Amino acid sequence: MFKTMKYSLAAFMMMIGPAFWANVAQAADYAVIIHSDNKIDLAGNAAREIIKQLYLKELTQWPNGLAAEPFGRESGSAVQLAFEKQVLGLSGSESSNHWARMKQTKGETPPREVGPDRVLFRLVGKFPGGFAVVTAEEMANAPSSVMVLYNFSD
Amino acid sequence: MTRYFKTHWPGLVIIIDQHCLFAGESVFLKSQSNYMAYQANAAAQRLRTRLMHSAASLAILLCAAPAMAQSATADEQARIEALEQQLQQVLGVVQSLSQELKALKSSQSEPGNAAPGDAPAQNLSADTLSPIDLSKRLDEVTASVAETNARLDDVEDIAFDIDERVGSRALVRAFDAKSFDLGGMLHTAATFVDGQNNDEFAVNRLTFELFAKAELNDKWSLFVAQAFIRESNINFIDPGARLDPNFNIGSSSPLVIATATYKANDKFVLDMGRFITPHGIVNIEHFPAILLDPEQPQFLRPFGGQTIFANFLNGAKASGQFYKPFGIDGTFGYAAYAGTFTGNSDSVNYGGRAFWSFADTGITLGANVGGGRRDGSDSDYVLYGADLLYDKGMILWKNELFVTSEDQGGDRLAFYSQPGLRFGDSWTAFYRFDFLDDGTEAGDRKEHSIGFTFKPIPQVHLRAIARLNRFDAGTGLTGNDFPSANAENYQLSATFSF
Repeated sequence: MFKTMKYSLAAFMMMIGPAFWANVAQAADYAVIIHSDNKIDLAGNAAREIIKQLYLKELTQWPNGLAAEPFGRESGSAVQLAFEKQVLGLSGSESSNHWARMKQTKGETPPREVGPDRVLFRLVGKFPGGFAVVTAEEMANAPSSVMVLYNFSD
Repeated sequence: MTRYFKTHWPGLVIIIDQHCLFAGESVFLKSQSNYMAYQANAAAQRLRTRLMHSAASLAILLCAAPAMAQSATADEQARIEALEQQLQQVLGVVQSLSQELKALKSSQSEPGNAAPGDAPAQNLSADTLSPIDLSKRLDEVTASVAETNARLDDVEDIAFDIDERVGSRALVRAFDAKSFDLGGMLHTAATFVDGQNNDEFAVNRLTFELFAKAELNDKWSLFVAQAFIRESNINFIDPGARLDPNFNIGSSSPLVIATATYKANDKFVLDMGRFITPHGIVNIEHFPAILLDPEQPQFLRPFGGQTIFANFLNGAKASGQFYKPFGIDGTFGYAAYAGTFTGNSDSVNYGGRAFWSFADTGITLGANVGGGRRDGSDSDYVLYGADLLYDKGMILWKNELFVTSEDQGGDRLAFYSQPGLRFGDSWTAFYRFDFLDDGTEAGDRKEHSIGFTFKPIPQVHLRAIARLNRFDAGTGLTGNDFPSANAENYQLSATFSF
């Protein structure tokens, strides 16, 4: 009886194993990257919150005092939509409302949109307070001047 | 007798002495006396002539053969010389190529001359490269070229994008600023109002407003909002201002905002100039492009007035935000101001607002306090207020409440609640209940607004709104009673911003 249970458990683990590892692999579909000199001690939800505040320009400085330099991706692209949904927590209309308000009350504009990942890496590597979102595939080609602050999946 | 005969060969001359005669040549023998002797001599002469002919022929052959041989040798010699010259030229080219190849090999073998990603220098020597090394090297070069091409494509995309935006047009540049942003909006509305004694229709709003921001450096910036307004508010022309609606046409070009800003950091920002009084929610948002209902709540009417507090002030404002103060999950913000109201510029208004945003809940709670002097009177007032915003997901709910304590006249009370429901990215439906007690005996005013808005694109905001106004009964300065009354108005409006 015990042996049967053991074999059943093993078979079950073999069945769910691939699905489990597939989920783990998908857990890093996107990454928020920062300058490698930005030694900020944030992770998880705290990192997501500060990224949201900085990207929306509600705050303009990292907790360590560095001036934030956010970069966006092309509007409507999969990576930007995932970022707005999972990190900013905003729908398209909420996002547009936010930037309309920021433009007309403070003269602030949305972060600059950057398409090619190579250019994005250069820009984030140029500004100590720079940050942006990239896909896991793009991150595979990242230079040493940037590092991952926060991973998320869509 | 000696004769000379030229031949066809250049330089070849046949010499015949006195004993040689050509065949056919006439020989006249002067001595006739000895015919036999003559015959013998003739025979000997013929023999001698034949011999001479033979000798001459042989001489001719012997003489002509070297000449012919000499001519053929000269031709071949010329050809050989030409071939030698060509060979010398080819050898020179080969030597030159050899020297260039050596130079290339030596330059690639020098450290530091290898391109990024190249194989070690010692592998680049052609003498030491094996076919496998060459294949590997070729793959590396191919990969490097592909990478370079991809980068070039990226740069070209950016260049084309910039060219498409700019083209041959002139760029606007600030005289002396780090950056300069220019935007604006156009707002228009058509309104039908149905009062108890009258109904009117007008395209009653046309506002064009420009926004400009210039960053002088990381700390200093300027922000200006200049409006050009042609509008006609709904104006009830009966004594109680409730029965007989009309539109009073007016034009103005107010300077809405003009501030110089010093930003020390997120915790301290100083604005100097003309700014929006930082109370509540809608007054701060202020601009029609943002608002669900472009007709602001009653306590903010008329535009630029001071019904509860002045919408705009000239003075100074300090503000800032603290993210997660004392480790508490949320954001604390403040704004404090002091300035004069344009309608009462010899008196200072003061006040401030503090708010707390509850982390990622979408809830922001604000507290307001202020004071000053009323326009056109010596009456001072003190203001208290609270505002509550819920903005998350489908729900956008704004609430504000203000009360004042007046030195003269009745205290004032105003509040509204405006829940909104978003449907997708384009549609929003809302309702607003708006209450105002302006401190007079004319009676309280209530307004119910219901409408929906549509944003086909983020820059275009279209609305259809119905409003129902309720005027409570009251008394005027002359003691005449004002009856309670209702009025409705229906409005279509559009705001375009850039």
